[in-house]
Amino acid sequence: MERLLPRVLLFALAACLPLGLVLLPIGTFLVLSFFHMENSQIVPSFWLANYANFFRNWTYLGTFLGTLWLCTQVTAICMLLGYPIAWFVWRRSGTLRYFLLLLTVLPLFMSYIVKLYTIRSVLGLNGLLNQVLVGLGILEKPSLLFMFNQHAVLGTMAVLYIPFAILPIFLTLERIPANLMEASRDLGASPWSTFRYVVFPLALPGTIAGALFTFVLALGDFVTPQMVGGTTGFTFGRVIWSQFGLAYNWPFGAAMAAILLATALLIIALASYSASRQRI
Amino acid sequence: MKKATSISRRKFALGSAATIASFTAAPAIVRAAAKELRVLTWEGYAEPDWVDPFKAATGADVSIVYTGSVDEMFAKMQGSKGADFDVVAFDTSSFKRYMDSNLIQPIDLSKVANAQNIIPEFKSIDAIKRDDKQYGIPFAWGSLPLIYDATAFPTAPDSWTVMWDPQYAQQMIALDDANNSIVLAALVLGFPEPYNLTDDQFEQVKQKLIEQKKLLLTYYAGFDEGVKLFADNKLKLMFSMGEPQVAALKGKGVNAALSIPKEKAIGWLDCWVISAGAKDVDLANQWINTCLDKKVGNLLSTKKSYGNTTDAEANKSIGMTYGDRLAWLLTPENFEKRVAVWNEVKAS
Amino acid sequence: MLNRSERIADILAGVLTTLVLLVLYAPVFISAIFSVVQVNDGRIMWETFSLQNYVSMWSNPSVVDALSNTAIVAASAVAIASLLAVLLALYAEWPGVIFRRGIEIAIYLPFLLPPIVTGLSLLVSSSQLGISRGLMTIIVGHTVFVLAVAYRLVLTRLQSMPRALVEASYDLGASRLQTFRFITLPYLASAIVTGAVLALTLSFDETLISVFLAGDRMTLPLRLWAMMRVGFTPEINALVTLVLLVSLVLAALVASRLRIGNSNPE
Repeated sequence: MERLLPRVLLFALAACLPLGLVLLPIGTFLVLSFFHMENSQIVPSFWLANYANFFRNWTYLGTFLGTLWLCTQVTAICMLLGYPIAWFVWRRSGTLRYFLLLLTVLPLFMSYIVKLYTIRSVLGLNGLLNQVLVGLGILEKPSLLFMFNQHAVLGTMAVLYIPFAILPIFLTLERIPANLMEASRDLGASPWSTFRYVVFPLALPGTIAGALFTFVLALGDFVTPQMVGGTTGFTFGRVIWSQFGLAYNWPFGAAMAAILLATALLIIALASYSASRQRI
Repeated sequence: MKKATSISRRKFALGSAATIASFTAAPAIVRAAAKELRVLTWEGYAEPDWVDPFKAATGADVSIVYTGSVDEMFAKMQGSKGADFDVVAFDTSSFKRYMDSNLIQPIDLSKVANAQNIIPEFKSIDAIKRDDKQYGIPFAWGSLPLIYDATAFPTAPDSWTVMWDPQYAQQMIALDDANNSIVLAALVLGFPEPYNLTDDQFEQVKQKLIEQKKLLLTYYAGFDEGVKLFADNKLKLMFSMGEPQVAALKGKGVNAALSIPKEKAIGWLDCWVISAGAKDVDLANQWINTCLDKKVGNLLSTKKSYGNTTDAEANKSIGMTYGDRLAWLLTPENFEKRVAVWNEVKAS
Repeated sequence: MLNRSERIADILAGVLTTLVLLVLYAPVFISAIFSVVQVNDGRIMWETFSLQNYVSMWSNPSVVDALSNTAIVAASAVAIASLLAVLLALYAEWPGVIFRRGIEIAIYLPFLLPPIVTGLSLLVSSSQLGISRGLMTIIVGHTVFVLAVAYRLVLTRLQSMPRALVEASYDLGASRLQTFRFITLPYLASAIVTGAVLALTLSFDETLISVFLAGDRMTLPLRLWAMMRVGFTPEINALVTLVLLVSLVLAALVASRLRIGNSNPE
């Protein structure tokens, strides 16, 4: 194990796929972000203007910050709802536990696009929710409150991504040895202290992983805000997308994608740092 | 940018019956035949009604890829330098971009006998020519009209300004499409060249669009999305993606109608084009020839409600007689600028 | 056994779980309903009940073709990704590892980047290498996309594996291979299976990367994507419902395996 050659060979073997299939294409992209456009042709150059444009223009920078804030909120909602659910599922035993876990994961099997469509028709002015509320006399007339605003975006994203939060939390909870719980109880700890000093710290890596998944999925999702957010549903992914489409300014799009990449890297670094600090 | 427009082309959705029929009919992708034609197009442009006879006549297989937007189409063509497809259909405003990137090749009209069937108004289109060579063959056309709820409007609104009327706040939707939105605002502002705006005009367009944004329920990007939003939310007005949305709305029980306001409406014209990477140019020519058969033009209008370029009677029969009141799409001065302005509107 | 505060917490969490599950399943049920009855103006017409859509769906070659492509892609990508995930996780935890961070970043990137970027970067590089787009390129795209999830789960599990287990195995004279086969692999099994299920769901639904890598092949989400503009037919609701039912069975099988794999007393 100490000899260098086998180590290098093994490294080459292990690394060739991730490097060739991921880093190489992304490298191409980063290079592209320094190019510029001339007469609808991409011209190789070393051009920092793409990045300067981003920071100079509030349209782009503001949208970027707004998107980060949106993703933070989505993550918070998913964690607040997902954690108790994972905990509840974990506390069941036998078949019920895995049945419940299955129930939380299954909605993922349904097409994302179809889900969005259904949610939208349920919450719309003419949708089921309004009809029920009007039918029960809670609302006087159908309301637009549920659709085409930021709340709708948050709610819809939470519905889409909550299973991704529950699963990793559950998986770490499941790893907690039963005897540790017993030991804590035998030593006279209250259920709350057991949770606070045993369960919570041990499940923290999974909790962080769950938060990371939700945040990142929300960050990459530019369809949901647009579909349910009405005129407010404009996110950074959408801005990037627009550069690859009509505007046909791939270098500028690549530069903004690079900024998103840097952000994501920063977040994952923070997440893995805090997760590693929590390992016992 | 014609993303919207593009979408409109899928105008093929004439109610779900037609939709089901065409999907059912869409040929399975069969590979590995000696001759194969690879088509990149919009839903409704390669129907079994003419694909099957073409296959029988040439002995070739046809693989059809449907695209969701103009941008996606361009990205696909650009990514493979055209090598993935033989024939493509897109509209006049995209030609410059494809020609500049050398993704398409000129068409030898002498190899396309049916080109003589093209009705006069589509015979000489500047946008599809360069250096005396013709790069596209007009095939289908339509408009982006104003669609309204005829119950709320006993007489058709004759001006787009109705979509800036606070009375209809939250009862209107508009296309999420940089170029089309900007062209429309420019038309409403009365600018003579909506495809060639000055910075000052861009600023006015932007303010105009921001003013409208507050009144809109949402932007929409898809053909059916618009129809569904309109029907589900009992809307009054919509900057439409195309004529077939009226039929789709009627199918949902909405008393919808369309109007081509006095400021004009945007018009699009889709053309068949041969990719620079075409494997078999003769086969591509034969395909275009098939599509220019008058019978195909007739089916395109009567079954799919697109305007066609070979059968004027069929156009008339579906009420598409307003070709002269459309502002035909051209390549704008600067797509990038338009996207930037549109992004500013949406981020405002 | 439980004291009062614990019971209250349980009840509250249970109510929350029920509510959230109801919300999560609402779209599913609604799709299922739309697949068998017509809905007009927001009202369900029960008298139109029919299973016709489940039959007519199968005579729609483009849907069947898309479905089979999706299945091929998902199965291949998940198989490759699971294998890679185990190998890479073992490598990452191996004491002789070099440049672990770098490899992990490469693994996580496709998942973290907006799918457009991953899709376009693979498209650009594959076209430069002269590889034509088709199922193979979609499989590659999906593999790198789902690898992150599979790897993360396997690694989390591997890290929690007590060193003592492996050491005991060596002490008892087991070879490295035997230790892997009889100690490590069983310990990882539940994470591998969970990872595979998760990866399968991601792959089945992945749209934005596939758009750029598909060439002239259609997967189900791409077909849905193209249809979205045109209008979903009731057939699509039937299809989606059916896919869900199949995955239900699949996931139930996985879950029953999981339970056996984890039958250590708690």
